[in-house]
Amino acid sequence: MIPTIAVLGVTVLTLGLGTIGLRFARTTSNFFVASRSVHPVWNAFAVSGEAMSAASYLGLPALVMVFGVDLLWSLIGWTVGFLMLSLFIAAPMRRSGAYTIPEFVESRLDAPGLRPVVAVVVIVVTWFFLLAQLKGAGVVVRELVGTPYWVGVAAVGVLVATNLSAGGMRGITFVQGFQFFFIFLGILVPFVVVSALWFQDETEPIVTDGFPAFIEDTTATYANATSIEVTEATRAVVDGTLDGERLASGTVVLLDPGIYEVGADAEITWPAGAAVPFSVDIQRLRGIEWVEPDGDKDLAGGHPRYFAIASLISQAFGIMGMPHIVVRFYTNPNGREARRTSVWFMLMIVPYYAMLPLLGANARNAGPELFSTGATDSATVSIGGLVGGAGADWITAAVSAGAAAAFLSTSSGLLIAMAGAFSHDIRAAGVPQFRRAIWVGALVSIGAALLVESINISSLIGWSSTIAAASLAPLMLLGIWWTGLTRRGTIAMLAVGGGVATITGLLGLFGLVGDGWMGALLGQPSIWIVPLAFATAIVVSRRDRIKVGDLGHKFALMHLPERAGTPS
Amino acid sequence: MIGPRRARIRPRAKDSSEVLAIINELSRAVRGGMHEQSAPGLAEGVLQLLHADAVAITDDRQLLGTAGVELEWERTIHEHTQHVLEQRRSARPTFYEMTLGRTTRSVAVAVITNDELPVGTLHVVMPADAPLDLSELQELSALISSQLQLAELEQSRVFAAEAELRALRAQVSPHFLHNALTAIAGLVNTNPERARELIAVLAEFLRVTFRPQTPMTTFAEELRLVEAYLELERARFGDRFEIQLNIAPETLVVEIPFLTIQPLVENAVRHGLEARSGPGKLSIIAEDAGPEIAIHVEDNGVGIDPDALSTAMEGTDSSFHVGILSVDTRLRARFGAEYGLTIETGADAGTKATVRLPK
Repeated sequence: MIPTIAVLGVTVLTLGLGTIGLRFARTTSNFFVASRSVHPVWNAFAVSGEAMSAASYLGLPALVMVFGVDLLWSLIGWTVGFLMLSLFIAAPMRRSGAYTIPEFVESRLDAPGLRPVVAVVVIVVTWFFLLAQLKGAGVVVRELVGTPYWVGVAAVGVLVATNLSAGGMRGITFVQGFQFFFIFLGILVPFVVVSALWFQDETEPIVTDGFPAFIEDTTATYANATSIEVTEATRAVVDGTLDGERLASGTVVLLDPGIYEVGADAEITWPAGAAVPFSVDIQRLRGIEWVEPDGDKDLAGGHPRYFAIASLISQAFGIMGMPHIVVRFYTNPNGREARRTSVWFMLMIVPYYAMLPLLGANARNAGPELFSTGATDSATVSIGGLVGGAGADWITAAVSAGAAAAFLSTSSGLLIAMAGAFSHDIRAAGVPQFRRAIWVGALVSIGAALLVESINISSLIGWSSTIAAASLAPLMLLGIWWTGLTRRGTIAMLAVGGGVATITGLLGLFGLVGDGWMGALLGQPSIWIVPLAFATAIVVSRRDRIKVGDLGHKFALMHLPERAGTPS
Repeated sequence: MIGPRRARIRPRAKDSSEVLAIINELSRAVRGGMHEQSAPGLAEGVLQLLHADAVAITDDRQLLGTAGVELEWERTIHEHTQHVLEQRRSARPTFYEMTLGRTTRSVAVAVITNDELPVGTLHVVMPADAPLDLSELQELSALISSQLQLAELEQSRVFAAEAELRALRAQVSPHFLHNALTAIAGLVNTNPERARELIAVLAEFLRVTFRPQTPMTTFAEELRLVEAYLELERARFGDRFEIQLNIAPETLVVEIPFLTIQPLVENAVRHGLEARSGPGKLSIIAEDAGPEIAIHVEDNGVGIDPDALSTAMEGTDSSFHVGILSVDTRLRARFGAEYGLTIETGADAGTKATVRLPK
């Protein structure tokens, strides 16, 4: 109950702040107050609110829970990505005066024709990313309220679209700043509580010699039909369908080792001490294997080191090309302020990333049933299970409020970026078209998100990152720092990098990547696509005789610091 | 690939110099735009060029002019015009049938566009023995379309030059300067402190308006100018009007053409609030709308007569609300036709001017 109220509270606050609250907050007759720009620290709150998404908040703990320390590279990847964004992109992009990436490309390359092309890439990237957010919403709402998966997806999609089309981006900086606090609190509260328990020696060990086992009697709810593997004879209480046989509520069965088919909506209560019967789709690792890097893990077809490097590249470059993050820096009045914002932003996101794996690690004890139901994307919100009694509710409330803030803020940002790309970069149009684009984007994404229930959030994010890393990131880096980039170079790079990345993403979406090294190369392709994209851009640009004009002026605008106090 | 385009208008007239003369005449007829005065001449040109029996020209609503044999155009043309304009996606000329007494004649119809937008139609009836090549008609309508566009370009160039001139003149109107100085003079003895403040404000206002011309500024800068302007106006009005600001901080950094908002505020004060008897209210609201922003300047003054306003916006009466017109022209010139100024007003209903700008 308390967690549900927390989620609803965050949602209502988000809507309220965006529409009514702000109108009063900023109404004044004082010009000095009205024309004060957003302070870099508050701006950094907003960027953080946007950047801390369901992808990191729910997706990463899910992977850490299963695979362990190898996933820490993802955090490094994200951090490096944001650092590079701060160092190489934020300030020059702000100085260029362009609001979106397509707009930047148009002015940098004098190519109005390229603007819609880049906008299409922006739409593809944001769409995959949005699917992940909506999936997160479906999972969290199911976990907390017990509604079917589609309810959360549809509710959040419709809610965000309604809010935005009703003029809800009024004060988006303000709203996202607030959401940052919820997200941060959602990670800080469990961190403090779990640390306290740990120092009092009241936690169960995570790194054990054996496989995960139930610490206490645990009821697992299987939302979808799942195949589980029982490894030792276990006496369980079943309510639902098992191996095709409908069992009356409370039937006690002795399960011998073997694979069982659990029907959708079945509930099984496992006894304390029993080994967790894993879903066959989830790799079963002993505590000591889990904590061992580069072990025998199902990452990238059994190549965890390759996975680490590939995801590092994908995430680092993917972050740089994320269209909804870059636009947040526009609220700064100039490049100098954009840099200050990015420094503050780094100070906020790094502790967040540092605390994040803790949720995934502890979920091994807090929610072992997730191994069995396959719903590891709920790892984050399971953390309350670690402490008993009323405390559990409050922790779950904090974590759920954080999750709600994470997917609400990021979905809003993504939907704005997506609709804006369609209504302003592809077709030069106004607010009504923008609103329509918001609705079309939301409905298409809801529809698609319903189909990806079985795909984990990290895979969706991975595809989105890879496409961004292989198209938008090289475009920004080369466009800002290399005078040689030409129109043809850009087109070739978008076609090769963006095209191949999209194809691999779609192959993944339809489960066609295969196994072994082939699966690794197609499933985690950034390691070869990103260099390929850069190489294509450079080679084609070099050979292109039609160079872009007026580069001196453009580069001066992007790179020269603003004079302190412009004489006017 | 398609080969080099050949000229499709085969000369049916006796020699090419005659054809050129007709085309020249036709162009001249369109130059002033397409309306009831120019349409008959245009229709006549088409008639001669194609050796048609009858020609009719419409805009997107009604018949503008005809030439050649008298036909009952009025009866059916509206329906066919609408039909053709709706079908414009397949923009090729088509035929339709028209019953004349006991005979039925086929009428070829083509769409005339201006800047890709359909603005009218061209209907041609050929003699029974000389059927019309549709591509010929298409080329002819394309010619008329391009002439229309040319005419508009020329007009907008004239406008731009005028607007610039107006903007320069409108920056500080002598009227405003005189009022401000009178107000300050009145305060020199009674409230020298206030007078000194106002002189500083005036100096700031003049410094900004007279600065070397950069066409763009930020909204925050423009607000500073508005503040100085209002401070000076209030010195004269006292607290006869209240100011309300509601500015989304995301809009402050957006680049806008210099002197976009100040003329709107000046207009609200001069034409709205000054004439009003009771206490007035002026609000400036700036909203963030994703890729664009909207700035509203609203007053509860006497309002503007909508008819007078629309003539002013069309540019036919240049004496009226010069500042507003210049804002609209410059916005459109800079950001394209989809951005610009919209004004909602009515006599005694106040005025709300809205500017939409891309980020």
